[in-house]
Amino acid sequence: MRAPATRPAFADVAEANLDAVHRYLVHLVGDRHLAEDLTSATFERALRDWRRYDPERGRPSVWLVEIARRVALDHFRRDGRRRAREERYAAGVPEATPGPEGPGGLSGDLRDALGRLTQAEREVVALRVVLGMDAAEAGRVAGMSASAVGTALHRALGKLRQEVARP
Amino acid sequence: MTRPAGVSPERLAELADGAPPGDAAERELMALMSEVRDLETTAPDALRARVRTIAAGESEPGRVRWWHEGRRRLLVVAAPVAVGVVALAIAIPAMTGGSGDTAPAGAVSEALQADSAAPAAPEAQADSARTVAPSVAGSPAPGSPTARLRLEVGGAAALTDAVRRARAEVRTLGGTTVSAPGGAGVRRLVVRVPADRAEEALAALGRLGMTTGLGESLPVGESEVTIRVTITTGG
Repeated sequence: MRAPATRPAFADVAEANLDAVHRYLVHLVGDRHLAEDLTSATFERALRDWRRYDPERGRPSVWLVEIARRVALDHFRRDGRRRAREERYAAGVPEATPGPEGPGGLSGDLRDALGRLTQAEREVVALRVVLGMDAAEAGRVAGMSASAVGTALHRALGKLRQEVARP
Repeated sequence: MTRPAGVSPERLAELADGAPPGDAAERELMALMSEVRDLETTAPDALRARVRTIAAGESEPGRVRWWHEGRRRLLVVAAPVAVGVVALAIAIPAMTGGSGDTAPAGAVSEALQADSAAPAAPEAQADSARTVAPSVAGSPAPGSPTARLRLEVGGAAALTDAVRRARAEVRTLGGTTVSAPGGAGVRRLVVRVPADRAEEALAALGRLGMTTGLGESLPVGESEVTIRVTITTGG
């Protein structure tokens, strides 16, 4: 019989995974300051839900990144509602929707190229390349199959390669 | 579709998982992935400190986590109780033919609100009641939804600092500080913030000290929320 996985301390898990969560969010939202706020919110929510974390079901990093994704999506939903409200009352002054910027804090052509990927492509690059998750883990976080993750990564790297090679 | 130099998705997955590259095209892809990884920065120190503070909450016995974890359960219990009390307060005068001038609903509501230092469950009831009946005179606008936060800080200087920072946070979020009275070792702030910033405000204010109490019933369709923040030195 397999011994039950031991439960680490939350502080240790937070310390070990802070950079990973932050990097993921920088890629996902494309805004360094927003990513910092969402990182903070992620760990607040993670602490609240810590007793529900089951080490048998996956690594803490995957669990934290799943929470980070929910926090980011909640933010975008709230932001979307706020924008819709403002637009209703402001009678049509078009507000620039923030386009996909390159993840802040990075530099050069590659950052710009990353910024031109779709959000789903940036997310897959973050999960598979930056955080080094395997396809199954990345699929679990992003809500897609492992093969869909492979296809998205393939497409994303193809675009990146082309963008970076462009004179 | 843009293909990375003729490498299939399956092979790319193997490379991403650490398989050694077999030819120049695969080496080029590995170099690209490595470049993406190298672009990354670490979390800034301020964020690291913030997360350490959050994580420190794990070792605080009981109270903070109890409030967070039990909050929804408390509200599930307290909200129907509060609604029942108000319904009874309306129904009894009607059944006994009373004029209603004595405003029993208000009396019940005020009784529920009376003690800000009351233990957890009554406090949650008070918060729920406040969303049904208008608050006591003075601070929030009638019917304005209210959240309540109790914080503990390390001493008199920390108390002054927390009040200053609370005012600044509220200002940053587009809100106003209505009043900030207090006495020895305690300040009671009443602030108003735009409803869509209320959650942010609660989170920001909650970071100013150790949260020892939180009651919220945030509104749908309201433009403004009143937050009552009690900050004590815990002594």
